[in-house]
Order: sequence, then C-alpha cells, then structure tokens
Amino acid sequence: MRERRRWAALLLAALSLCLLTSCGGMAGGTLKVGVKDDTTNFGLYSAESQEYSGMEIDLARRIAEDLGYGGVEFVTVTAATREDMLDRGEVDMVIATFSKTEERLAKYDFSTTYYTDYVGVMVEESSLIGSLGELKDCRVGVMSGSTHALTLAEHMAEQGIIPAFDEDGFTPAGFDGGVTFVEYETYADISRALEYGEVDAFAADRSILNVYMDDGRVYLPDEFSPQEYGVCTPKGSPLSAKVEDAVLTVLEDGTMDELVQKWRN
Amino acid sequence: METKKKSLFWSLLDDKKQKWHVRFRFILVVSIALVAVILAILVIAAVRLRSSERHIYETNHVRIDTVLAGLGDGVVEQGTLNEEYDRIYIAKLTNTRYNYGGIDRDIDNGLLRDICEYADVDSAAVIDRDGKVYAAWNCPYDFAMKRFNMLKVCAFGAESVSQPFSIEYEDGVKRFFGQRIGSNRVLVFVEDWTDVKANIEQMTSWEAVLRGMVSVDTVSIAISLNDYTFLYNPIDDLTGKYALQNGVPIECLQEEYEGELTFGGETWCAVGKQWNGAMIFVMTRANTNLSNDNLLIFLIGIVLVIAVGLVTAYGVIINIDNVRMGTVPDFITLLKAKDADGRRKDLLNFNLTVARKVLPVMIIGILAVVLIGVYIQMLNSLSTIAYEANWATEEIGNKLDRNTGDAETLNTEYKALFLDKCVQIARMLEENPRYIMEFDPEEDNVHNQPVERNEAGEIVAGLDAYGNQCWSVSEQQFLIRLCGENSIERIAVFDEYGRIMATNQEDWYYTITGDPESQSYPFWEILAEHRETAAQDFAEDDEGGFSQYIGSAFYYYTVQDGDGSTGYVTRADYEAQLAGTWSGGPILKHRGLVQINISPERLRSVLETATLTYVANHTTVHGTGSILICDTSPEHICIYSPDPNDIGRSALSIGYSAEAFNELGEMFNGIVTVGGTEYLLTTKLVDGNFIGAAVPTSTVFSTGGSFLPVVVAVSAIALLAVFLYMCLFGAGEEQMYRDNEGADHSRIRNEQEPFLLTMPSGKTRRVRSAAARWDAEEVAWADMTPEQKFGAVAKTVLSAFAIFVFLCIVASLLGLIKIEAVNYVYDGVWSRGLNIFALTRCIITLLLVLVGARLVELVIESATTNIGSRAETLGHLLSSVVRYGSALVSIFYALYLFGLDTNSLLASAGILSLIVGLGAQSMIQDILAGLFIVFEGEFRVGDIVTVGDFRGNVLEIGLRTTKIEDPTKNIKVFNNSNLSGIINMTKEASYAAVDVSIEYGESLERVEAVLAAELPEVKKRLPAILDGPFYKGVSALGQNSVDLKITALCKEGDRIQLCRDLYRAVYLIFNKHNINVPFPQITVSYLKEDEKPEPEEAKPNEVDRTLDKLSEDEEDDEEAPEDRG
Repeated sequence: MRERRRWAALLLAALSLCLLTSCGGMAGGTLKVGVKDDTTNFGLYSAESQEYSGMEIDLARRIAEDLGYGGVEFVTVTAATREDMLDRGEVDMVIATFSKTEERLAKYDFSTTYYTDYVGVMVEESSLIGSLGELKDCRVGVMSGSTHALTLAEHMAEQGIIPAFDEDGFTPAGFDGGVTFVEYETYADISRALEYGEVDAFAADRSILNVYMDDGRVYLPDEFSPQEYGVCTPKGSPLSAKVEDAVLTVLEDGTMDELVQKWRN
Repeated sequence: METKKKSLFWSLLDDKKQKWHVRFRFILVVSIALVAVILAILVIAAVRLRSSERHIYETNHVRIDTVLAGLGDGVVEQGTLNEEYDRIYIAKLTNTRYNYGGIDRDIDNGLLRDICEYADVDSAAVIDRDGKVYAAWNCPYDFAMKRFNMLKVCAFGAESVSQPFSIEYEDGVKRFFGQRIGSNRVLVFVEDWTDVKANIEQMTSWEAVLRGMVSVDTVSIAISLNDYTFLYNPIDDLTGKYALQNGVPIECLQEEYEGELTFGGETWCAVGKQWNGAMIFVMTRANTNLSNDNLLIFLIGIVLVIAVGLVTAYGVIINIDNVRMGTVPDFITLLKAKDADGRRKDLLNFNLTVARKVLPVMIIGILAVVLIGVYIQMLNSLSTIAYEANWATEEIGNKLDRNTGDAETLNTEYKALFLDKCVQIARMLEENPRYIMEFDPEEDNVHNQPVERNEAGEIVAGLDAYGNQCWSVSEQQFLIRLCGENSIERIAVFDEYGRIMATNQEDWYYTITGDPESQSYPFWEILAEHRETAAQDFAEDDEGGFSQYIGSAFYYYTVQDGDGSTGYVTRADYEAQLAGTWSGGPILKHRGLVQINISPERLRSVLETATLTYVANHTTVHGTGSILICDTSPEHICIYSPDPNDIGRSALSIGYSAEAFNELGEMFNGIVTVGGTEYLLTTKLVDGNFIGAAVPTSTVFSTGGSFLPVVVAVSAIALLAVFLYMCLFGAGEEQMYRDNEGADHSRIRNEQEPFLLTMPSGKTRRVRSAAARWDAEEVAWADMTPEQKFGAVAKTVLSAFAIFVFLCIVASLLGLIKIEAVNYVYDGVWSRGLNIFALTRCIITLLLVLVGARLVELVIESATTNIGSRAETLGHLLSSVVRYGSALVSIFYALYLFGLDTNSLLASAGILSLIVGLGAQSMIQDILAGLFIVFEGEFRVGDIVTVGDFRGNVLEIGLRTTKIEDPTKNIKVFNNSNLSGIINMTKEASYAAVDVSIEYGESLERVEAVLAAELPEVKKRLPAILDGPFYKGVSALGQNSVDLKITALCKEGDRIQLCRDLYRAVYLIFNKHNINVPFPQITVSYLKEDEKPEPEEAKPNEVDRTLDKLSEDEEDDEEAPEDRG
C-alpha cells in the first residue's frame, strides 16, 4: 500500500511538473539545450547508448540544475543550424562550441566565456606544408557556416601572406585572394577530403581537429584567433541573466576547471 | 493451570528475585563469547578481503608495466615491420633503376607496364617536379595535388628517394614510393597496402598485444583517448564500442588509475595507465576469490544455523514435553547453596534425560558442519584450480596456434618477397656482369681461392676443371650497395661448379656441393638445373644467428679472348652471337647461382614466441602451478617442464602415472606425486601433445582455508553452548516438572490414535493405521511425541534448505547469480570417476530430480484429486512412474558420472534379464515385489495382516522376504512374490462378531429386549469395545437353533479376545434371563418323572455374583496394560 501511495505521489508530482512547464514556468521543467553531437570532448552522441557526453553536456546539466530545471533535453545542432534553431525557439539555449563574434553578439546574448579555443590548421605530412606561408594558393577545407575561413584569411592577410581584402561581404566560397576555401557539411567530410588531397589543409578549432589527428598528419605551428565559447541565448531572453550568473558560478567555484581537466585527458 | 502455562525456557522472568541467576550469568558469558568469536571472524574476513584486494591491485601494478613494455615492443615492431616492407619496395625502385637505365628519357606506358611486371608492383608512373605525368600504368592519381609533394620534393633531395606514405581511399589503402630517375623525373610505384596494413595491424594490434598478456580472470583492455572507444575489450565483445557509456567513467581516464570498473555485470579491480593516446587497464575479476570465500562462509553459516536451530528445537521440545507430561528428568546437581533459612538449595542442575537425547543430535550437527565445510572448501578450491588448469592447457594450444600462424604468415611473406628480390638481383647481374666482375684496383679485393682437397685427394675447390687457379671478388662494392639497399646480409654469386665468384663479404669462400646431406644441397639442385629457385626455412646458422638462405639461378656468359684469358660478356652479346652479329670469340653460356642470406629481426622474434617453451614459460596456473608438456609416445617424453632436467626424460620415469595420458583424448584430473610433492594434475591432448597443468595440492586449502578451522570451532562452541543451555536448569525449576506429575494427560495426547505397538525390541511404538499412511493423514502437533515433533521440524527446515539450494543452483545455471563451483561442475571439463566434481554433480542432479519430481507429483496430485477415483488412480500411477523413472535415471546417471560404462551396464541389463528368465526369476520377482511393498506401503512393520489363512503381525519386511508373527509367536517367512491377496487388517477398527443361538420356541422379542438392556452394560465391563456391542439380528435359522449376530467395534489386535469375552458375556446374560442355548441333547427317559431337578431358584444370584467378580478380574487383568498414559 505504502509503495502504491508513493507511486501515486510521484505521479502527481510529475503531473504538476508538466502543468507548470506548460504554463511557461521554469521551476522543475525541462531545459532544451542545443549541443553538438559530433565533437568529442564537447558534445558527442552515441547512437548505441543514445546518450550525449562531453564537457558542454556536463556544463548544460550543471546550468539546468542551477537554474532549477528538473532536467535537460539535448537537441543536436550544427554550426549551420544553431542560429536558426535559436531564432525559431526550438532550443532555449545553445552550448555548442559557439564562439563569440561581434556579428553574433549583436544578434544573441552570450554568457561569459567558459572555454577559449584557438583556430588551428592541420595538413597531411606528405604535402610537406610546414607553415602558414606555404598555405598560399592552397585549398583549405572549412565547416560551412563557421567563421574559420574568415579568421584564417584575416590572419594570413595580417601576416602578409595574402593581400588585404574587404571583410564585408566575405564568403568562403567566393574568396580568391591567394587562398581557396572549400566548405563541407561535416568535419568528417573535411577529414576525408584532406586524406584524398582534395583540400590541402583543414582549418577548425583545435578541440575539433584533435579528433581527426592521426599519424600521417601534422598541425601548422600557428595558433590564432582565440575562439571564446559562450552559452548563447536569444537576445533579451529572460534566461540570459540567469545563465550568466550560473556560468560565473561555475567559473568561480572551479567546476569549469574540473570539467576541462576531466575532458582534456 | 498457572504453572502449566509457564514455559521452562522463557521463565527467566521468574528469577526476578535472584537478579544474577547462575544460569542467566552463564548464558550471558556464552553469548558474549559467541558474539566475540563471530566478530573475530568478521574482522578476519574483512582483513583478508582487504589484503586480497590489495594483493590484486599490487599484482596488476606489476602487470601493467609488463603490458606497457609489450605495447612498446608492439609499436617498435609495427615501425620495424612497416620499414621492412617499405625497404622492399624502395629496393625494387632502385633495382629497376639499375635495370632500366635511361628510362628517364625513353619512357612510355608499355615500358612502365613491363616494369610493373618485372618489379611486381600494382601501378607505376613517371612524373616531374610539378606532378606532370609522363607515363603511367594503372595509375589514375592527380600528382599535381599538394598531397603528393613528398614524391615530388623529396626525390630531389640528397637521398633521391621519397619517404613512403599511405592514403586511405575508399577502395583500399595505397602506399606511394618515389625515386628520382635522371635529373628531372620521379619514378613512382603505387602498391595496394590494405593487406599489408591489416597484416601489420593484426600482428601488432591492441588485441594481439593485449590478448597475450592475460592470465585467467585477468584481462587487459585499451580505450582510445581520442574518441573514447574501446580499442580492445574482450568482455562482452565491447571492442569498438563507446567506453563512457559502457562502464568506464570519464574520471577513470587519468594519468594513472586504480579502482573498480564494472563490465558484464562483474566488478573488476583495475589498474590503468595512459600510453600513447590510449588508456590501458589491467583488470582482475574482483569477486573471484572473494565470492568464493563469501560463498563458503555463507553456506557454512547456513549449515551452522540449521544445526544449532535443530539442536535447540529438539531440546526445547523435549523439555516442554517433560513439563507437560510431568516427567521429572534425571538430573545431577552441579551447584548448591544455602538460602537464608539454612536450607540447602540447588542452584544449577544438569538434566541427564535431555542430555542423553540431545547429545547424539549435537554430535551429528558438528559432524555435518565439519563435513559440509570441508566439502564446500574442497569443491571450491578444486573447481577454481581445475578451471584455471583447463584454461591454461587450452590457452597454450591457442597461443601456439596463433603464434605459429603469425610466424607462418610472416615466413611465407618474407620468403616470397625475398625470393622475388633474389630473382631480380639475378636478372640484374645477368644483364650487367660487370657489376660483379669489375673490381677496384685500389681495394685489391681479388683473391685466389684456396685449394681444397677431399679425403681421396681430389681437388674440390680452388682450381677449375682445367687446373687453373680460381679467383673471386670479395667485398665487391656493387654487391655491398645492393645488400644495403635490399636489407640483405650477404650476397654470394657462384659459378657453374658451385665455386664462389663474388660476394660482398671479406675473404669468404664457400663451395656448393652435391652432397644430399649438405645444407646447400637445394642450391646444388639449382646449378644442376633441377630447380630455378630455392628458399630454405629460417634456421640457426653456425654463428648462432638466425637466418635464411634464398637462391636463384642466373646465367653468365664468358668469352675466350685471343690471349687465352676468360672475359665476361653480357646477355646482349650472347644474343648477338646467336643472331650472328657477334664479332668476338665464341661465347659460352654458364648456369650460375645467386644466393642471398637474410635475417629479419621481427620474424626472428615472432618465431621465438612460437616455440612451445616460450609459451609454456609465459603461462601461469593458480599462482604456483606449472605447465608440463609431453608427447604421445608410449614413454611420454617430456617436451617441456619447469625443471630443465626433466626435459627429454620419460614422464613415467619422472613420476607421472600412465593414466594421466589418456590416448582417447579424455581429460584427466588427478593427484600425482613427483619429487615428494603432491600435485593436482590436469592433462589434455592438444594438437598431438599432452599438455598438463600441475598445481601443488598444498594450495588447495589456501583459498579461504583459514576460515575452516575457525568456522568449525565456532560451530562446535555454538552447539556446545546450546547443548549446555538445554541441559542446565536452575533453582526451583525442578518444581515445574513436579507440578504436572501424576496429572491426567489424556487430553494432551490424542486418545483417538489407536495403536500402541510393541516392537520386537521391546519398545512400544505408536503407529497409525495403514490406511492413515496411505491417505497421508496428518497427526496434530500436540499429539506427536518429541521425536516426531523433532522429525517434523527437521523435515521442514531441511526441505526449506533443499529448496533454497535448489533455487540457488537453478539461478546459477540460468546465469542469474554466479556460483562458480556449480557452473564449473556443469560446464567445465573434468574426468569421470570417483571425484568431488562427479559427487557434486550427483548431489546436484539428485537434488534437482528430487525437487523436480516432487513438484511434478504435486501438480499431478492437485490436478487429479478432485476429478474422480479413476483420475486419482491414474495420478497415482503417473506419480509412481515419475518417482521410479527419475530414481532409475538418477541412479544410471550417477553410475555414469562415477566412471562406469553405462552402455555396458545397459547391455548387461539385457544379459541380466536373460539370467532372470533362466534361473533367478523368482528372486528378482521377490526383490521387485519387496521394493513395491516398501515404496507403496501396502503394509508395514507392526501391521496385522492376513495372508491366505495366516494372520499375524508383520515383524520385518526384507528385500526378498517378509516375516509375519502369529499370536502364538510363531513366525512365518513369506517370499515377497507370494504375498498376494494380502489383507491388511490394521484399519481404524475391526468388528468382533459372535453368533449365539437360542432355542426355537424361545420368544425372540424377549431375547431382543434382554440384549438391548444388557449389551450397554457389557460395554462398560469390556474396555476393548470401542463401540457396541450391537445386536444385528438373526443370522441363520439353523437345524437346531435360531442364530443371532452380535458385533462390537474394536481394535484388530483385541478382536479375537473380544469375541471370547462377548461369547462369555452373552452366555452369562442368557443364563441370567433363563434363555436356553440349544445343544444337541440325548434324552434318556426314566420311569420316575418326579425326581427331575429344579435349580432355577438359586442360580440367578449366584450367576450375578460370579459375573460381577469375573468382570472385576477382567478389569484388573486387562486394563493395566491398556494404560494409555
């Protein structure tokens, strides 16, 4: 009897939770977080266990907990889809190696940076490319929708490798100022193109490049354009301030350091 | 009533006045002692647990270093292997360059195809510095891509050879090799590398390395730190799966880790370290030893609890019975004291009556605990050892197979590759004899060969057929270069007589001989044109190195110059001579031999690991156990033993028994004594060798062994304490027994239980009617004797235990829980015979069959009981079939397990039936009939039965005969088969029936009225009558009399006597009421009719008196033994 009563109580609680959530209240509800599903150590989905794991997953759980949500629903986003999904309200926030840019800051609210990554360039050893300078006139594979092409081009222009160019109206596909960019839909595609020689270099965040590193590949020594990852919420969202507080707490109490430690081997 | 209710053993409250009652104090001390001992056991268990866990971790810390070292070797090997394969292809490039001089200029696709064929590569191309393709064969790649910079740039470096690299295309892995030809071109070879890569990976894979680094219960796993997948995990086939969601928390993936991991529902003690982007764990199943120990303690604990519980129960039952029945027990006063009034008072008494009964039960209890403890301990240790031994023998076979497989693959590949090389070199030298014959005048490396003669004095070396001095070129520069480029130790070129012509070695001479025994015979066969090539297996050479000789035929051409000296010309010159365009002297064609010698390190190490000794050395069994390998010859020559002195000796002479080597391939488990040490030996025939694992028997009790004495001591102490507790009673408690002394106990025992039988031994036994036995009537608890109560309690407890064990075994067999011993007994391989595994399997099977059969019977019973009598009969029949069938199968199975050949047993059953048919038929019938009597309970000892005309008490039912005693104490022995139509009279009650006669003419109504009035009185006087007597009417109208039937209900044992008593009583009644009993009369007529006597007046009084007196006597006589106290 007692057991049954307990179940009844649970059921009641669950029901009231559902009601609360549907009323728009957040206490005990589910937080929808857009995360990556293909980025080891940040957000990785295992089809086998049907679970997400990674640093950003842990962070999302922690934030949801701090914000008083009962649970987290993870929604897979990609660099190309995350903004649309935020705009359409399909996710409450995005924690998906989303780096801050002025352009993005204008459109979305970002929390304090929880992790700083750098853009790196990976090449095949057999191509004998050893520096950014040798990347001139090369084909570089980038993720479509990402800022890597622009940052790489800017950096090369700064180094005087390619002539300066107009940043406005820059598109990776249309750029022809001394280096060519090829856009791909997934990182795995870029990696394959690099293997076949269709592209000569692979530009992305170092955290992502790490996944595709193997014996026959090397990093160019240059690391540039710090990518500051922040938790992104729609502009003016009531969540923004609370998320900011939560991220600050996580940074201050050392949880973030622990997470970084945990997920960087 | 107050005292009656008081329970003896919970009467401590009565001792309020004496707070520290002696018994109470005694109980307290014993309890404290018991608790202390139990605590001590727990502490020991905890310490052992900790230390054994600690030991596992420490062992694994050592193991992981070995594993990492092995992985290091693996990686080195991988590099070495890769390099070796690469070198082969680079050498091909180089050799091609020598052979096809000028291909940098005149190249076309056709020539490239020839080159591909010549060098045996998949595709080739000639490109320039910018990747422009000049010629290509089967080579669709866009070399302009930066991906191929290595080919284009490196080839123009100092080495003029590019570093090989691979590209993983969808259709496979391709490896690219490049070498500069001419000034501006690169010759590119592309080879499909998929198989090579797979081969190398397979030989140096995580699996290949980690798999070898295990012992039983220990595995090594590897997890990639890049994508967190299992690089290798044999448990549950997890290799390739995602680690974080399969039992490995991310926290474990630190620099170093020590802790528990869970895989496949089991806990593993893991020690991990990071290594080259992977986390390696060495894990030992945590609960193997621990669970065995725990199981041991748990089972012995249960047995202990049962033993203590039963002894306690028996003591309590006896005591309660004594109190109820007012039986004052025999007792000895142990402690006395004087109370305030100066009266002596017993403080502590010892109850002898209880002691006599409880002591045997206690001793049986202690024995049971000890026996079961020893048994479980043995079973556990032996199954663990046997399991490990099995594993070891199998593993050796597997390892050998694997290593031999690896070695063979490598050997074949190497042979093919180097043979290929040798042929190429031979062709190259054929084309360009100058390479070998040109010598450097500065080096002065041309030698006259020393002249050698054989025993007959014939010259075998040093001079040619014409007697000219032979010379050879040593340290030939081109050959030295070739060796370097082709990773060859030595190249030697021999002439048609097998004499050395040129070599890269310094001052090295060798002559190929035609001696079939010689190692060089295969090469002589080349010279003799019996074969084109020869490749020997790897072997240790004279210098202790490990090398392989490969040879190929080659042709050289000589021309006799005008001055008589011999010169060498090319094949082209020879062809020119054939074509008639040659202008010089006649050219002769000679068949020579190019021989190369190689010794790759990797192959050498792989071949080494393939040896039996290596594998046996690297296998451990149960800590101190060792491996023994013998061949299948009758002497069983020892191939491997940890003692090097034993190798080469006959195993039988070392001390191993011949039965350990079963030629039929059956496994052997047994104990052998070698060199004064007893070993538990497990042997098995694996791939034509007997592989054995010998574990010293001294280790059998090392697993959890220290528990046994402690547990036994505890059980002895506990049982002793209980015993004393049952037997001791304190002051004033004696009165409790006396309270009920002499009281009427008829209400305590059920008076309806009618049979008190006197057994042959003189003891009386209360029995129930045979019908009650068949109907399975229950005796009420209160009616039972103490022994019956104890029996009932014991039966319940032991049944519960049996069901518990049954459930455990079933759960273990279904894999729900893990009892290793049970699983081993069922799944493991052990030799049949009188051993503990067979015994256990027997016990388990019996238990399963018993419980299973009982369940089936219950089902049948409940299904058929309420349907009708026919269904019930059928149910009985089915139950019998189940019972006897399962018993029969169990017996056969047990015999099979104990090593008897059941086939011959079954066959002999046929022969047996023949014998039965011929002679022993009746005996078998008797035995079978006896079995059925016993099983079906038609009658039992103590029953009164009638067989034919013989009525008596069953004394004994034997297997063949049954003894029945009649009331006159005569015993008749029946063959069981003759016991047909038996009447079992031990029913609830029988009717004693008498026929009495009255005269015709007597008023029947008056007689009936008299009987109705008098018969109830008869009952009072005859206590044997249970009911009645009843007047049943007229049974016959006889010739001289009217016969009346009178019956009375009584016990069968009383019936005969009661009949007599009834006759007597009726006669007396008839007399009293002047009812005449007719009898045949002879009437003698007298003349004087007046003298007729008239006794009627006085008789009635006399009769009454006599009757009363007799009745009193009867009561005295008969009631005394009928006391139903």
